[in-house]
Amino acid sequence: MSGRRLPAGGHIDRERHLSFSFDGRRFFGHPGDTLASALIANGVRLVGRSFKYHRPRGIMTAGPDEPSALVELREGARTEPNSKMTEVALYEGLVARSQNRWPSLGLDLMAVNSLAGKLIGAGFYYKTFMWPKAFWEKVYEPLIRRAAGLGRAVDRRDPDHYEALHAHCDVLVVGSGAAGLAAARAAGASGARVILCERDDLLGGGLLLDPAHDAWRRQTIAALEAMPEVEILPRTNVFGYYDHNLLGAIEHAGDHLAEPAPHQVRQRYRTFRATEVVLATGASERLIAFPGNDKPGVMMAGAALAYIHRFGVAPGERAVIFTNNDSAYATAHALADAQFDRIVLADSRAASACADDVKARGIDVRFGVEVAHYGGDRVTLRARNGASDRIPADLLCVSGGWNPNVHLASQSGARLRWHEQIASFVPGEPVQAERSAGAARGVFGPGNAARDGAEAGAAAAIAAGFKPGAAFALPDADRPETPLEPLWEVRAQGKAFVDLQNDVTTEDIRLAHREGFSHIEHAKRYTTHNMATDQGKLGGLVGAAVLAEARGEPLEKVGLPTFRPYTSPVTIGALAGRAIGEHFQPVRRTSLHDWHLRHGAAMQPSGAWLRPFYYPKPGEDIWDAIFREARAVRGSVGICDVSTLGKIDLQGPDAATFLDRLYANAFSTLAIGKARYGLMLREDGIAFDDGTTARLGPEHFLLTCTTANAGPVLEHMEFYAQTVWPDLDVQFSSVTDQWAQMAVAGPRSRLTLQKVVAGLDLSNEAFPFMAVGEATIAGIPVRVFRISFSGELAYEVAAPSGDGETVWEAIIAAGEEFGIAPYGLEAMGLMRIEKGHAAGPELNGQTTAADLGMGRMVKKAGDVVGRVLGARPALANPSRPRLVGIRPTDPAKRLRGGAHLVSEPGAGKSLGWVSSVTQSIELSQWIGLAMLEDGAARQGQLLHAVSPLHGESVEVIVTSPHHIDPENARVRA
Amino acid sequence: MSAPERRSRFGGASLPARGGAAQGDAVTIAECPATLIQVTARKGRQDALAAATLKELALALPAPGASALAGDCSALWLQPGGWLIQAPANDGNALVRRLAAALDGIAAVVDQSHGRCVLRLSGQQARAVLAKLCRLDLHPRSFAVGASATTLVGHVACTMRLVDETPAFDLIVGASYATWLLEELVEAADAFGWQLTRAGAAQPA
Repeated sequence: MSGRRLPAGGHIDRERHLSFSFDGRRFFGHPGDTLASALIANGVRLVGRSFKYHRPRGIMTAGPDEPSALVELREGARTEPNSKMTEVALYEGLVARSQNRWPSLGLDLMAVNSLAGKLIGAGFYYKTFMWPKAFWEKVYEPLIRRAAGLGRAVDRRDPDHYEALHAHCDVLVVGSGAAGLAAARAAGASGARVILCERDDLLGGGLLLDPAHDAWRRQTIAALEAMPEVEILPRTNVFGYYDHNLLGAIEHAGDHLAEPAPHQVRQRYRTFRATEVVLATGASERLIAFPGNDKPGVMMAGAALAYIHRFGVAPGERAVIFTNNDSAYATAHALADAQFDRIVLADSRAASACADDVKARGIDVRFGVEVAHYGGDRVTLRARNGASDRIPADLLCVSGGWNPNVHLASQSGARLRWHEQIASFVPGEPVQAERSAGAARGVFGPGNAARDGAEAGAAAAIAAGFKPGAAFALPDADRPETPLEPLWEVRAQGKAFVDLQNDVTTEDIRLAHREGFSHIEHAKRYTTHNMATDQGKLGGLVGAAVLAEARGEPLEKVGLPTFRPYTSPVTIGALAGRAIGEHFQPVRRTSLHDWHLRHGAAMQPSGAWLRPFYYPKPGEDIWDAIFREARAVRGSVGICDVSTLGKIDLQGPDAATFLDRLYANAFSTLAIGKARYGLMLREDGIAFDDGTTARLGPEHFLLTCTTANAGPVLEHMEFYAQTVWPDLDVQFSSVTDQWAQMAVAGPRSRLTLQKVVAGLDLSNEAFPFMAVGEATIAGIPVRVFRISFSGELAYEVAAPSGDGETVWEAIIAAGEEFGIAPYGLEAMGLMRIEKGHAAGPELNGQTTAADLGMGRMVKKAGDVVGRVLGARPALANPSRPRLVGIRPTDPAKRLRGGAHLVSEPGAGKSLGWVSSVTQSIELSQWIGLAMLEDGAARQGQLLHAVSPLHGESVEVIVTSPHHIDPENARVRA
Repeated sequence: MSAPERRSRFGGASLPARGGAAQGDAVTIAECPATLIQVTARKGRQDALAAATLKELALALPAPGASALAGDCSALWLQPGGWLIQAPANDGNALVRRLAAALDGIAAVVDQSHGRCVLRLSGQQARAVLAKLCRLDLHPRSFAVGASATTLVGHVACTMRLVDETPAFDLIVGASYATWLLEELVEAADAFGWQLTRAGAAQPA
């Protein structure tokens, strides 16, 4: 127990106490704490076990670079695995559990892996679990998963809500340290629309660790808050930089609460479209590889500074600071402020200009030494001359220098450039409208960074078309630093880690090189270096440096692996936002939707539409309802909502010519007041869509197309009108939603409609099959079409959709004496299969007009879309599968859609497939439609429909697809 | 014989008259019955169409991204050579007939009064609601009163127009998507609170 709360300091609310639990133990913290700072304040040091070796781990950092302190957060359906303690804001009642330990954190039986460490180096799993192959799925994979898994995913529905929010701005500033605040203020002063994103819940970045600059921080935030066009977004992590200056972020709107407030979301997925971007993303402190650099007690020097000044917490009592640069001297001062018992500063360099100030505070400063080992609360210091010293320490602060956070700049397309003075990569020339500022491009120190940020913010505003605003005060300039001397690795006995989260050591990197995986991208994949949730923020460059040394090449040449989104893990739920469950995709409803619901329809999705499948009555099962509805149509009259059919209004002097080219059959010969069935082909000669088109005037047509193809047909027409035949004078628009359309079908449909239709003579002579006319029903102007899909005498009535229900109810009232029944999609499908009409399963993108038995419809002369490519030999081959009907020879047997047709059971060659099946009410047995090789020639033959999936084989007879009324007499009655 | 009043397209949405956060700055969502007529110029007749609409309705057909207003009628740009005329709901059929006669040989005139639905979203937070559903920049500097656009709102195609500085937006959506869009708007407005109303007729500001 060495961590403790300091009596003063930090951005925490000491007046209020929050209780929380970790591994079942109850602790207290303050608002402003993270889970990590609160645990340190309570003296907790061991917080997890490592991924592969199950080594004990503590808290290493104070931010998103944390590799070790991962917990399972919250409970029940809200459980979140792999949460970084350093990013979890403390709230009352927080519950967290350590991960990857069994049976408990203190006693972990899997730690035996660590003893066998020599045996499970990089590539171990690839090499070991290769054979026998059959073992992989059943033995090896479950074993590895049980041994290796970090947190566990939850399979319960997330009770919280997420949403997306899209914003635009002139200047987007990412990061609110000295550079970001100054950039936002400079851009904001110009009048530009500015958005400032900060991943933390407090603004200030590194300024929060520096009490001397707190006044400037507060003053700048106040100035920003007073600017109406500046939006400040705390808790918002920008995770990706995409083309056209589009950036994505997650706003952790409710993650700092036990549960989001009512009507509020847990997280918000944000997109930004920014004219200019300033990346003030700061820098991350890097590790030095030495044996024991992963033990509890090892902490980055900047993190120790953060715990003292940001959270008012001392992470130990006796400390060694191991550094190769000046930044750790601030940590030494902070540890002295925090009354540490003993502080030793081990600087690998020969000297530092900061040393005198530190020595004056009684700190033991040693130059030219390195840490050769840490363990058992003892630091082994080794001097250049070989002399060594063991110093007791419960805290070992490490600083290997600072890596600019270049992830977003790199994602934007900018190449990285080696910066000799800081021994790291910085963003090179921008590719998009962006610039980096401050530590993100290697300009360190609050004074320097603020100046750099102010310049970047002003430049961004000017680039976005604004004039610079008034100047403002900036922090004092920083003192010059003694240069850093690169130090990547201290070679000594023991495991030295370069990636703590994935347990990758310096030896693993060298092994990868020895085995030929010497490219940085190959070494990454072979060792899993950089692939954990911290994405190598801590040791990525260290691993690359070890590889560079092994290759005998400069680090600059070895480089870093590609940076990709996301900069830190993102919850899938946040990306899905509201588009889940019933809101997954848009739903279309016809104007008769409410009527269907009121009358007990079983509604089903049909594309984007919701449509009635059938209307069950009490006690009826599905087939009872379907048979009753179909019998009503075949025997008397039924009514069906067909509003979902695509309807396109086509006008213009060239409308008839346009249709002649668009459809395989002719329309210019169609008389006004008549409709005609049309078949549309794709350019490649395959059947595309079908429907009836009516001629309303000399230059006015109304096309209908299938529900599924309503959109694609309109696009098809636009394409030909705009690019292929721009000379034709045509205008068209979708009127699908303008009209409610209802099929009134059955031998008594005429009698029914005659009772309600006014202004139109419906007698067979005056209004024959395929006639079109205008009339009124219940005072509503309607269009009447004598067309049939069921095969019976039938009409379709189109009414303005807002009046659809009035017309529908008037027809039902008129048909009551004939027993009119509303029928759904299932009964419609049954009847169309009986009648032998091709529909979706036959118009499947593989069939030609001839395949569907409509070869004779295709015009002999004139150009038509699909004619040229439809003449290719394979499409013209007469033995292609053709549409036929099939029936089991045993009427008691059922058919299955998707079954294959073979000459005899067990025959290996499929002659075709069953496309649609139903139970016929007229034939009282299963019937089907099928696509069959040489189909026309095989009528009367006996074949077998086999469904290996169901273990079924049924003998069938091949028939005409028209199971009923092949002469088409009923529709003309 | 005058036709009975059209039914609302929202009967199916079993929504209360108000909902969402009670303390918020609630937005109002109103269904605004309107006469909507799509006019598309015949080849090379755009000038004749502009002259005829100016004569018939005193409307100067607007450029892309804009709308025009004259009395109780407005026009929105839809596509090259194509506009949507919005007029009061009463007696739309007469206006369709009148326009069809006046524009004979000049433009295709198609009644969309039942095919599209006008939803008016208004209130201080209207922009914040739309920011969740649409990806356009609706800041006053880039989308001023009178501006119009056709874009996806809640995943469906909408033609929208900023009516006034309340701000109030008219969202013109395919009638079969109206309930879907209403539900999307209500969800997006949940944090602010919302109320549903049925306006008598769309009154262009």
